[in-house]
Amino acid sequence: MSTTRSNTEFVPEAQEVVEEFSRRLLELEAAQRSGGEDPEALNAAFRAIHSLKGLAGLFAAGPIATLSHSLENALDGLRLGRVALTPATLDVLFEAVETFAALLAAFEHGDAGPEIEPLLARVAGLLGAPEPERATTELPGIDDSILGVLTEYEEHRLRENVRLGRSLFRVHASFDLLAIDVGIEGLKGKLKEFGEVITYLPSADASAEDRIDLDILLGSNAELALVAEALAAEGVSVHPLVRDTGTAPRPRTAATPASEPTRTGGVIVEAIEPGDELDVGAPEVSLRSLSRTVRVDLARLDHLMNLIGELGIVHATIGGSAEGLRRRGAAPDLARQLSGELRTMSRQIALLQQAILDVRMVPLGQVFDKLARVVRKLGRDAGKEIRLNITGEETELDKLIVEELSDPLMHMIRNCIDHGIESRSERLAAGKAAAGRIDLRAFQRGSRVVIEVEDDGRGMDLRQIRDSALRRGLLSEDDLREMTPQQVIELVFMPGFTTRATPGALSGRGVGMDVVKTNISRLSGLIDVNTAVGRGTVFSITLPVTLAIIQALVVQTAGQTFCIPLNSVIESLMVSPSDIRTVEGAEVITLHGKTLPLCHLARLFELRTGTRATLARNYVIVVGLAQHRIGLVVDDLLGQHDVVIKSLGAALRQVPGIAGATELGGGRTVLLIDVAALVEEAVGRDGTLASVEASHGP
Amino acid sequence: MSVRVLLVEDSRAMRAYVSAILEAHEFEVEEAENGFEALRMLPREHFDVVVADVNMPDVNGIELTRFVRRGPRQAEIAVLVISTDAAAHDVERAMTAGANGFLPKPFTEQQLLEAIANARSRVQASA
Repeated sequence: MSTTRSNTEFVPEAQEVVEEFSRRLLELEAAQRSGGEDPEALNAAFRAIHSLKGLAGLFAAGPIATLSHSLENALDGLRLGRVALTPATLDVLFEAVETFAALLAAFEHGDAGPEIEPLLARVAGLLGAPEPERATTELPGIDDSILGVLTEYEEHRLRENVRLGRSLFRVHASFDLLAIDVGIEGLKGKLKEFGEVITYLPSADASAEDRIDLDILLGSNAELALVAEALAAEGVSVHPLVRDTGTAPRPRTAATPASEPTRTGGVIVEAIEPGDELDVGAPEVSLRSLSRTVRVDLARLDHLMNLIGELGIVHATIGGSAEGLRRRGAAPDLARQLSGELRTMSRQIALLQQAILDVRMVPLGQVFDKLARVVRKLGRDAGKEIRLNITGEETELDKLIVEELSDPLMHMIRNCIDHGIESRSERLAAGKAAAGRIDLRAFQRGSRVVIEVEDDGRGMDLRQIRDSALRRGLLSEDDLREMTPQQVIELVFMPGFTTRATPGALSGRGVGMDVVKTNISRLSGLIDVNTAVGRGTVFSITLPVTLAIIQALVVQTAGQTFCIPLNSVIESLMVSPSDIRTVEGAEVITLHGKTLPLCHLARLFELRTGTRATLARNYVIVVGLAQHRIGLVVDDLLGQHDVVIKSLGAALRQVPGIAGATELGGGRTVLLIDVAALVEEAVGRDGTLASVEASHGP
Repeated sequence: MSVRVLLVEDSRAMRAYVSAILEAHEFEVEEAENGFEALRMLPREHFDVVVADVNMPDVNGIELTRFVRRGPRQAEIAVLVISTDAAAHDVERAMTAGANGFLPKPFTEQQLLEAIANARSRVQASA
């Protein structure tokens, strides 16, 4: 073969196709549940597998090709109505989604993938049980010149529409040759409101040289007059599709003589009334194709982002020089002009930065679709009926973050189903609906995205959490006595915490919640939990929109400048020494009725400092990681900056509490605080909020 | 002058594969990812060969074949349809509508080149 395409193209492309397949299956399932059919989704599922087969063939991905080939046959049978679509059929198809995912992962790593033989047998089994033969629906009055150009599938859909008692219409449209893409898209949407578009028949003799005429076959429950009226604005005419009895079907040969009066619609009834055909007023547009996407390696975007970061630094440096110029009072006009232009430049840099960030954004729907599949599977495994409501799937987040979210969300959903949602009988006894409900919500709040997973299950029982923590020796009774209810609930995020392994005590959560917390923290996210016994639990994840560039709070302490990621900053406040109390040797303040442990950055990094008492006031920056909060004590706040994260040199990599470095104007290198590490340290091993001070001497 | 091919195929991977083969053999290839794009290009540009997938959504390969056969240069353009073996019904209709050849997927480089050569010789013989 003269073509060699890189294997790295295959996996992402195939993954996209499998995701499309999975989405279509979910649509099919939804249609089935509401007692209907969705031929469009079924056909799209077939096409997805058809593409996957083609892809796998080109890249010699053997098992994927074998499986998609067998699925293609099954789906072809389904879409042609030869095989019935039952919930059991969908189970097999959903299993294929999982298997493809595993096969693709194996292909990427060069491993042997899972065994596909059992699944192949089940797929073949789908074809083995053919639908009881339906009497073929007659297609009276439809001309062979139309039937002759329909694919088997289109003909099947035509018959189905007749069987369902729909009227068949021929919608005649004329398009400007250059604008056909746009015109068709607009018309398609309108037509679908009225029924099913079976095919588009192009006619070779258009009304003018630069136009193209189409006859569109539409199956609809609506009256012709209604459809005609609604589409009048589109410049189309609508006709019933019946045979012109005066014209016998003509035999066609491979080469039809050119002199033959040709009109695709010519053999069909009803000449179009003069003046019937209006121009479709689509504007002339470019010749480019409809699909206008490019695939870009994220590393290239990172590189662009870095370059913009450098540009920002240059900008800040020039700003510094301009300021110097202004101070000297030399050429005040020029200095003013320069600072004006610098402001413009700063705006442009910000726009540039935003534009690159926008490129990295993908909708959360990608992950939510996967979760819908998980809910379906786990619900069935657990014998629980579960309704999943998804909202905000169009909310966008950085591609990297979306990728990292699948696992934590999966764990959370699993917990909802395993522990949160009660059994059917338990629910009925509690006066709840038999089906459990899980709401998956995403929305933007300021510069962050919030994802909430809410169930209407049994909620968390504080006593059981306490008992479990005691039994596992995670905490002592004394520790527990001092904890607030919220702190107790947050124990579920501790490593090793689970109530699951205790027979007969299935309530409560715990499976993998520490993993969830770790993953969310790594994304600079916060996780909160709210629960009410008997009513359910809500987990809220708050995430930054991107990680590549961060907004940072610039602070100063003991003459040193640090950056704190604004993502983890909850609030900052001014405190006087009298606000600070000492509890068991650790400094704390009371904030919103809760005790907040403090951590002095200067002491933490062993910076030479005047005694703190000499300062009348300190600033406390409240930072949070997952559900924990601590207050960082600093001397001064210098403002907010957008910073591009750079990795540290070897010397600093060992310093705990430092996440990286960045540059501010004037080529100053500033260290970026690793909030996660500081909070982890403050929280300590036993999960209680011990003070950082305790580990750094008195 | 090199032979101009219009390739109509909705699978991106398949388009890339066919184009790569044909371009390596000095064909000039234009790609259309659906029937509408093909309809837009056919009346305005000169093509010697149309290679079309039979089973495409919206405007299918059979309809496209008939469109070519009823167009002004209908006798000069060779139409080769490609499809999976399973779609025998559709292929038969495409041949009736005026296609000059059929190539089942998957196919090798050699098979594609031969199929195009055969389709072209059929057109030239009937011209």
